[in-house]
Amino acid sequence: MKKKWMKVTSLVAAAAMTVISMTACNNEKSFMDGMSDEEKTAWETAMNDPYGKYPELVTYTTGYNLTNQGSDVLAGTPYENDTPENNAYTRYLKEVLNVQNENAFEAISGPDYNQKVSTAIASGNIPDIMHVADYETLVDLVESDLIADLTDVYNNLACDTVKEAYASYGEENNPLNTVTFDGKIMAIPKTQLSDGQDFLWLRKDWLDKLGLEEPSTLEEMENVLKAFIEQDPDGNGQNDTIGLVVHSDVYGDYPNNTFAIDNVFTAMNAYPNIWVTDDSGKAVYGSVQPEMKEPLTLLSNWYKDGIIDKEFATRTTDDIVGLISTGKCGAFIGPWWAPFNQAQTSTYATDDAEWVNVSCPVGTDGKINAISTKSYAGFVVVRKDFEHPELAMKIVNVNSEYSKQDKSEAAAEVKENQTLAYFNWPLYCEVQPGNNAELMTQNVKAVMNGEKDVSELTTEEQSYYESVVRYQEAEAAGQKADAADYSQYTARIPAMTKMIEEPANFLVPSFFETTDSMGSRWASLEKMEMETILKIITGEQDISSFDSFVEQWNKSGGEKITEEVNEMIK
Amino acid sequence: MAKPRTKQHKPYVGNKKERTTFHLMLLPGMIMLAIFVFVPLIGSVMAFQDYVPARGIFGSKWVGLENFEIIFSFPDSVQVFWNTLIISFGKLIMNAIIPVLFSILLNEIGGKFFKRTFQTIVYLPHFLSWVVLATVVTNMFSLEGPINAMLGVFGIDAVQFLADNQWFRTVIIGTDVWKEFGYNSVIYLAALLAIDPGLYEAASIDGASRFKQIIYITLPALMPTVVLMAALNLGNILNAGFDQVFNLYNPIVYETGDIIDTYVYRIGMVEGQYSIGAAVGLFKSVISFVLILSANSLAKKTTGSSIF
Repeated sequence: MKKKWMKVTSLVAAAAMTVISMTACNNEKSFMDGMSDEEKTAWETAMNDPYGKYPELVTYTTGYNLTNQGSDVLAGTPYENDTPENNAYTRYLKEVLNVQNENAFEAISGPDYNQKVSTAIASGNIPDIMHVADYETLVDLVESDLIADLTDVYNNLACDTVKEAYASYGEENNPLNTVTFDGKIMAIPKTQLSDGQDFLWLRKDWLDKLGLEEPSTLEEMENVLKAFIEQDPDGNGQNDTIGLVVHSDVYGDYPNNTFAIDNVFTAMNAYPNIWVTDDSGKAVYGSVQPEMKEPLTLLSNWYKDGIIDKEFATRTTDDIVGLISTGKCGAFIGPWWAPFNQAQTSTYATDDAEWVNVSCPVGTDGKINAISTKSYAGFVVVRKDFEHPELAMKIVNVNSEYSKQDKSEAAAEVKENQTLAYFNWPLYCEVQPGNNAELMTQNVKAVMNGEKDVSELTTEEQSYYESVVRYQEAEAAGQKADAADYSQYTARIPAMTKMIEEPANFLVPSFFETTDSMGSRWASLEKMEMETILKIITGEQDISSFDSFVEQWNKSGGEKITEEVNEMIK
Repeated sequence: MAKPRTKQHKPYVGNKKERTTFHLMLLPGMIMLAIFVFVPLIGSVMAFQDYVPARGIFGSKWVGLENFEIIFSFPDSVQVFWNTLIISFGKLIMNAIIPVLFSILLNEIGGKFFKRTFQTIVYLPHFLSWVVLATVVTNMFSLEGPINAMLGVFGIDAVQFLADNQWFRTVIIGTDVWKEFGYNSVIYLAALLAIDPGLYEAASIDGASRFKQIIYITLPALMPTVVLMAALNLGNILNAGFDQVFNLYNPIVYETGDIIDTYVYRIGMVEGQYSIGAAVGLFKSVISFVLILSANSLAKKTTGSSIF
């Protein structure tokens, strides 16, 4: 009860302060009225420097993102009495920038936090600075004119790390595109790491045994898979191996859906399950384009010949993992981190399996056709009329650049808290280059080659390096490495190297979000789509039924949704 | 409860003080009922709103019957409705016939030990969840599974039962009966015990065979229970078994296997359309209510016994 009252009073106090400061300054700079010239210069310098420390403490209200670890992780550490308004992160920001947060609300990242944001927006009373998780909310905020234009703030104050990180996504997929409304930057986007392309993962030991080369084109892939089913790669004298396992969803959620076979479609220039831009510049849904027919015909032939798993439609992911773990299948399509999958670790331990990732099947230009993921994972917005909009940018600068290079004691405290993982930065926004995973591998490899010293690695990179060393030591001693070390090594060194050395073509979808009609219509359309796709592949329906499916799809709401999508991306 | 016709049949209800105690004992149950059944009924207004969780029931926009219009405009709502009815009816009928046959057969077996053991064994699958059983069923009916191996002995080509629209409903109904018939037969076994042994004695003196005894004594004695159970289950006719179908189906068999609940799950939960989910739920409840009322009056007319 007491706690609740304290919260209420602090909220009232915060609200009162906001009102006072708002009445005190009707235009942007009026909080400087009555200051001496000296003081004014001090403030102005601080406000125009990416890391300038304010002459006096600046407080701001915000919504605080907590992690789902639970506060018990802090028990027994020096931080057990930390609060969301006084913890390693807030102390650090206070030291560097002289700023202090007051939390309008605190919640665990995800649905809890999002709901608080929605409530704040619905009441029209949002905190000075806050993180919002989804695009719809951002649009809502822009349309209801609650947030400030950050164009000048970004141009003046964004640090190089942030600017370079955004640029690393390429012009088309730059996160800033998403937050630009009528040419104005309305938010600071948090970045989403790029997940790279999918590969064909093969058992190298099977390839060697059957005297096969690593495939690259669709025909070569077909030949390898045929050999895998016909030539008894596991050597048990029985005809019991499966060619390629396929996720029952077939495609989607690229490249995170291990076992999905998007790459077979994209190799033939079909882009199912995403919105693509057609020749006339209009956004269209990839699954209903005529390009789909060619890969579908091929897949139905593969199904007939037993090249893809006959029972894929009824298999769960666990079933597939089981097939691979028991050595019944030696080929699947998956991302660079597939070695973390139990399918690989268990065959490594028991079967002496050697897994390699191959850029296959490739398109006409010899590269894998991949699909870009979203480049943003949330947005930092500033309340309209907040007198220090630059503060948001400065905090993001500190999160993304300054704190990483800082070797001070306060920074060490922040680092320690990152492993404890209860509190986060008060502004849940770190900007990283999209290819961060690749950069980390390059750094680890530089240490392996003796070009760099271990001490130059970040803590995260150091742990990968240690895994690599342990893996190599075990292998050199003729033993099996620990599963975790095997996964780290295989994914981060050979697989990632291939990703760096054999780049793919990345197609940027024209639209990532949902529209109004999608909510009520999408389940129905998706059902129609999956039913048709699966029936065509399994031969229950002829490929000619694809056209009637497209017609039906458009009639049942697909056309309307396509219009809405084009309206939204205008 | 039917009104007692004659005075001497009036059950003992105790004096006023005792009655109060009995009513008080009902109270916790009634409170639970109110909390978990009556209060959530208020949430049904969502069906007539464009419900947004952040705005709540009072803040969301009122849209009248729009959600119902959306449901009936879905191209597959008719298909989903029929699938539900066919699967449900199949289950309703088979779940009446098989347990009755089983309990009669079990009743004819002598030897208490054997009877008890057998009853316990068939009773077991009832306690397993479909999440677990789905794996078992999938493996049983897979291409390399035992069912196909058996068919192979007779030279029949392997069938992918769970990815074949001709077979999917049969498998759903069959496995449900397999799981539940042991449990369902308990009530019939109890009803069998209530039959006056004098009737059988008299019949055997008159020269009736075991078979004739079953036809003329056992079955007629079981009939009221069968009808009552069927009437009770009729209220559930639009529940074709979400957890079973959800764990066994795949897009290929949407045509014959997609039922109202799995459909609502995909729209309501996966796509976050709470209002549409609530509208379908309300629609289902109204149909069930009408069905159970009519089944009850039918049961009352034909067998004289009823639920209320």
